[in-house]
Amino acid sequence: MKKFSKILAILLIAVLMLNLAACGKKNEKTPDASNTASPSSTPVQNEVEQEPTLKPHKIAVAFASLSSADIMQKNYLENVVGPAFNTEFVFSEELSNAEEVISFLETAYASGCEGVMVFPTDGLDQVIAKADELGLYVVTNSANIVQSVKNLPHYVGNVSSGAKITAGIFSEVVMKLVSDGEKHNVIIVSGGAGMGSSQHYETTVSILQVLQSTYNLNYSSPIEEIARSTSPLEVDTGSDVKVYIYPGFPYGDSYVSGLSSVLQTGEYDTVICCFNAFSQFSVAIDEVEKAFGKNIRVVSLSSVDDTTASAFNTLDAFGNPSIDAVIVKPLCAMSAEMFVLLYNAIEGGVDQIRQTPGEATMFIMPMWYAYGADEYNALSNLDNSPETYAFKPEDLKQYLIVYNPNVNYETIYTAWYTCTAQSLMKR
Amino acid sequence: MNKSKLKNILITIAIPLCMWLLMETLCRIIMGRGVIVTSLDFNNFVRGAGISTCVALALSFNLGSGRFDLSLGAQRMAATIVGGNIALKLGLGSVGVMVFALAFGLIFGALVGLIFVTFRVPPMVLGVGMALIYECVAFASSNGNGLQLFGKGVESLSDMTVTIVVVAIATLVVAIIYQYTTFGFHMRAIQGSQRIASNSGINIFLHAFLCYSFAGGLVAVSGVFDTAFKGAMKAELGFSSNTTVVASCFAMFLGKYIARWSNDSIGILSATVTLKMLDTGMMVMKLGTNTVQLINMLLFLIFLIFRANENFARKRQLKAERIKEAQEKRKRLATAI
Repeated sequence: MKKFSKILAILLIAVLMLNLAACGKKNEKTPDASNTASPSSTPVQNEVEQEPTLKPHKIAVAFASLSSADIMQKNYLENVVGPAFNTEFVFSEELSNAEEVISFLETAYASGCEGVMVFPTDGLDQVIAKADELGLYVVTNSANIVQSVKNLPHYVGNVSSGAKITAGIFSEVVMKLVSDGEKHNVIIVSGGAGMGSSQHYETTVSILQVLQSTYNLNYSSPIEEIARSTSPLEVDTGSDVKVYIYPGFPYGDSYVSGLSSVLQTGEYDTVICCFNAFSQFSVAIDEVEKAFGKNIRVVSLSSVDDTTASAFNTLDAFGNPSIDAVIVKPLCAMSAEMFVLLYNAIEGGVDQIRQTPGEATMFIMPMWYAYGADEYNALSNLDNSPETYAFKPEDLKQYLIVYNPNVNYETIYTAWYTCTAQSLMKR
Repeated sequence: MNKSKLKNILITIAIPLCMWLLMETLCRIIMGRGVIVTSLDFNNFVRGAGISTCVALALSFNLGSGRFDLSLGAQRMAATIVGGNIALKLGLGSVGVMVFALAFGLIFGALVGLIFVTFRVPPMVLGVGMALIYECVAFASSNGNGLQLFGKGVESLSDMTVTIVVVAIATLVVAIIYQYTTFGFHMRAIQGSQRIASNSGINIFLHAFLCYSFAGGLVAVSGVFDTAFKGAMKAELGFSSNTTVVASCFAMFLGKYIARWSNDSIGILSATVTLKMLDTGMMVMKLGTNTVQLINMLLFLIFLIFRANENFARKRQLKAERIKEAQEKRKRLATAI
């Protein structure tokens, strides 16, 4: 019996040792698995001879909404970025105010998160202060650095398209649309331009400026005042070109009917939406096109989702797509930058990636734009297709200090700032 | 037709007509155009009124008996998105979308009713809970995409004639249910006193279950029209699905008031047309959506205050008469002594 016990003990030790050896091999394999995803294409990666052992990390993501585009972003982080960098993501539900975000931060902290991406912009000073108190590195999606907390050690910075840069992209798109030698009467769906939304305001101002310079308009009021209008306004342009400001959001039943009644005058042939509202107007626009026998061109801010794809692929009565041009927020590319910032901060390189050490930094991820269905389909692949993501795991490695110790603010800022859909498609 | 009936019909028609006259006059003075000028204007008006009528009729089933179902908006969203997407996947077209949405509306409404009569959770608490569940159902079933009808070959759903026919059928069915069925008699008994109705043998639980089911079906119909008009319905979370239903409360209460000259369903139809005319007039006058909502809610408040104090003058008169009578009696007694 004694002999049997000894043999059993030896057997058990052997099994245990084999088990440990097997586990060891598994851990070593984790980073290799990401390597096999696709061949390295950057010089920095070629320099990396040995894959570093990646520590496991946990990052929380606080969503402001949960649309299909947000779900796409969630899938990108969870299934593409997470496994490649040994990082687990904890996702929130839809958080509409600062209290809900703070409550989520506490839960995230309790579950072992080390950093958080914050998309809601309500009460950011409180949210950032709370994250700092909990020791969570925080990157937000706000268009401006929150000045009152910018020196908190855990506030890494913001990643945003920037109100003025988005307005500039709108200008470019609208310019192309209105400078065809013909006169166009335009409805600007200005959303919250007069209600405190800096992006809607800047966009409306820039569209008015483009129209002014293209058609030599002489507005009777200052452009800033026109853009801030909170009730529908037929702008006095001093010429026969008509410009109509349609503010507000589609909360009430009368919103779509209101725009429809303006379109039914038959005078307007261009609708420019400063926010994602075009899908609400598609039927109203289609009906007016049929009734008046004229094509109405639509430009809108949107996201990469089925609604936008459907609008591009649905032809109107004149055989044109229901939407002519779109400006989209590349959510996956944006979250890739947020991940890079948080990962580097967690790995101890927070000041290395800031513009000024000890101060939160603004990073810009410009919006993308597309004219027509073909361009949109190519653009959407950059944000929702695993084969053609703008930032695949092997691309991200060069911006992480564990792979590239020389990474800094300039490297990261330049990479995303110059990342336009057009440049990516050429790549 | 007797005189009283004719008078009632005239009053019911006169209310929306007066609103049209008021708005027409204001629009002509301020904007130099009428409220409804083109056929598209009329189309929009009919569709808007149709959507609101269905929601107001749905509200009247439960609110009349003192139950405010806060999950109606979510039932509307879930039924439209789930039913609509299934019908589109099966390639069933406009009729399929309407039938499937209606079926899911009835099921979702019935489920709320079943939970209410089984567990006796207070209606508003149950409504909040079920609303959050149904919002998640709509979101999860469509993967966050909601329902997209624009460009799917179901344009007939936004056609004015279809809207008029469906809303007319809905109003007629509700009128028959209210006026000529046992369900309608029971409803009036329950609205009078639930306890007395129950003691007299009416199955108030079965009645509540049916009310929830019918309401679910009606909001689903309104959801389909709304989606067809706006091209898409988003899957919203966080109790935001209830906005349209709350906005129709005014039409429901006003309709119940107008019903004294007709019946509940006709009253609600008349009220909805009246309020839609007001909205359309304000839109023609280029008032912002926020201002339109503000005016609507202010009028709603004024109407509720009026209803609460409707008999104020009469009560004061009766009180004065009682005091006068008492004083005279005292005088007589004093003289007798």
